[in-house]
Amino acid sequence: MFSYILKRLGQTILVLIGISLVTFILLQVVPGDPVQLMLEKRADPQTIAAVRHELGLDLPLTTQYFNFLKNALHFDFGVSYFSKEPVTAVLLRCFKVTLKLTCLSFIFAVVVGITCGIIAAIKRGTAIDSALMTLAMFGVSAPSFWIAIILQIIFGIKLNILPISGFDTPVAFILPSIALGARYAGDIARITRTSMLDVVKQDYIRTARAKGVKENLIIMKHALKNAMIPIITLVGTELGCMLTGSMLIERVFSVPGIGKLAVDAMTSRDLPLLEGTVVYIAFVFVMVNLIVDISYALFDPRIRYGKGNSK
Amino acid sequence: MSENLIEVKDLRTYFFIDGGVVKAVDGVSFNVERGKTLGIVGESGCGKSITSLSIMQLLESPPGKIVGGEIIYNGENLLNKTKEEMRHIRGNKIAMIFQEPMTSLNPVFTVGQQIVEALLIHEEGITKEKAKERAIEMLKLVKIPLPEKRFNEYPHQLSGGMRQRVMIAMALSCNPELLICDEPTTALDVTIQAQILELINELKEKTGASVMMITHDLGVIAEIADDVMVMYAGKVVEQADTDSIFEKPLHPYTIGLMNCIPKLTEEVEELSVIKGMVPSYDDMPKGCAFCPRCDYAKKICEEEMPELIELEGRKVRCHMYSEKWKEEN
Ligand SMILES: Nc1ncnc2c1ncn2[C@@H]1O[C@H](COP(=O)(O)OP(=O)(O)OP(=O)(O)O)[C@@H](O)[C@H]1O
Ligand SMILES: [Mg+2]
Repeated sequence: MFSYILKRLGQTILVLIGISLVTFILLQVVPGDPVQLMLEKRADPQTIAAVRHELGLDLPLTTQYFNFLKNALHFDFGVSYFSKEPVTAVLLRCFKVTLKLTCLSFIFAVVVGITCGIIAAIKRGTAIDSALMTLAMFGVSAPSFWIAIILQIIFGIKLNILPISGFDTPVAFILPSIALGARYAGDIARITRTSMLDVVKQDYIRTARAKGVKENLIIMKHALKNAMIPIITLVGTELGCMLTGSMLIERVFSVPGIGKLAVDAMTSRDLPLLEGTVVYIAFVFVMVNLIVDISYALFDPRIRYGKGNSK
Repeated sequence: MSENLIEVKDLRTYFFIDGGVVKAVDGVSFNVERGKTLGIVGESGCGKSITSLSIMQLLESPPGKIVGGEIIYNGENLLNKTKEEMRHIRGNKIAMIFQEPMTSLNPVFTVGQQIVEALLIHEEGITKEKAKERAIEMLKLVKIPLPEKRFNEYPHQLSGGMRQRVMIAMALSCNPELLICDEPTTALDVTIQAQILELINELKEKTGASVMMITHDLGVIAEIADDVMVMYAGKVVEQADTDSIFEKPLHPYTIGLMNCIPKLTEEVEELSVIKGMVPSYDDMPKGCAFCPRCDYAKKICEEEMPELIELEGRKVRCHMYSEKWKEEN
């Protein structure tokens, strides 16, 4: 298991280098010059050249990239062109906000999704099942910013019990978390139901009944643990998506997280900031995948032992 | 003293599906005596499993439903018990072993956890340590080598035969009075089959439990059963003690099954088979269900379902043994 994790971490570094290279090249190709944006087209060519030199943009591309790589190894992504703040500090600040939002949405999505999925599976074919699945379908297909606005209207304006923007008080996170988590909760509910229905048909569930196991334990222990693998796969991907920030939700609720940062960096062609953000996003996905793979092993001894034997 | 542990009377279990009603078990009656083994034989689909699942009340419902009859266990009708009362009987008083050892154990729990679970449910006040001890004892009893090590292994680490032994250990862990075995050896290869049967026989002697052995193999019956019930299309067609049935099968279907057993003493050109197939629920013949495949069938067989008649202390459902038949000839 340990050597497996090490191997995966090694792969992670390769993936990150690859992704940073692709981003770097893309940014050269995409039109829009940061210096021109910065100087708002009023500057004369000498000033532009001076600034380019200052930012190191006049160096050959390969040198630029290797400099970037060298610094990145020390977690130094340079400073933002505009705010002159170190990229890592900006990332960290936004990450804290996104992390808070993610944790809440994630808990909301997992708890609501798995509970609804289990209930729908137990009540398969009944009105409760149809109601829950319609709700899940709605959560999945309704655009998140639309849900966000509806929530703002109902809870923020009509009932006036929750703040509709900001991020300083804990309650401010409630609406964005629900808005962001809704579609994930819907997804999780649907896969939980499918997976549970598949598992409860299995022979070992009949064996558990024949043994006299209580019905709720059959569901929560015997069935759920077997149904976890597809659920974990989905939950993992979704965790990745949440951690990389939601541009829409962060915008609607004016929460300065990673999503907002990425959009701002993009529109202003703030290359160091953009590179840092992309590398961060890639890093999150790779790590989440690793965690997902490790947790498969926690739930399924066949995977756990398979890995153990092959090393 | 031969006392009945369980008496099934006129059990009817139907499946209500889109196309109609499948009468999977249709008026089946039988008794299992204390300490005795009842063998239930019949072709695939004749209702053997549904009979046993009805006793356990483990039917998939809907579409399955017990629509009639009684299951008297120790003087009480199990069909009047609540769900919770049945749960205390299942795995405790009546235990069951299934056909598919490969899929009948939960893949994500160790063998030990699964046996201990049964003990913790039914043995009042037993501690975890005590339960573990008992579980290892049970593994020893079913002749699993290195029981302490196996205790911590997962089902996928065991062979089919070993898994069936674990199932037996689990089923017997709470000293049930009735052990229902639904084709416990069908999925195993021949040598393992013999070992498992021998084991069931031996443990039955040791614990004094009654056994219901479901099979489609008369060889298994000869090996293990005291009494036999032959089923066909949801109904009992013949009931007798094992010796007499092997000596002189009465029902043409039983005769057919007997002829299907390859005999070592005779040189046979080809294995005999019963021609035709079990009729499906939507074209059940009006008369005897076996009639379309029967060599002896007459007009009356097509028209009238024969009663289960008593004859020399056994029972058979065939017009051949009725008064009418004798009159006609
Ligand atoms: N869920 C179900 N829905 C509809 N019909 C069913 C269902 N389960 C069983 N049946 C019907 O009940 C009949 C009896 O099935 P059962 O499983 O008892 O057969 P069996 O004698 O155990 O056969 P086998 O030797 O293959 O195990 C079958 O004809 C089948 O069509
Ligand atoms: Mg069966």
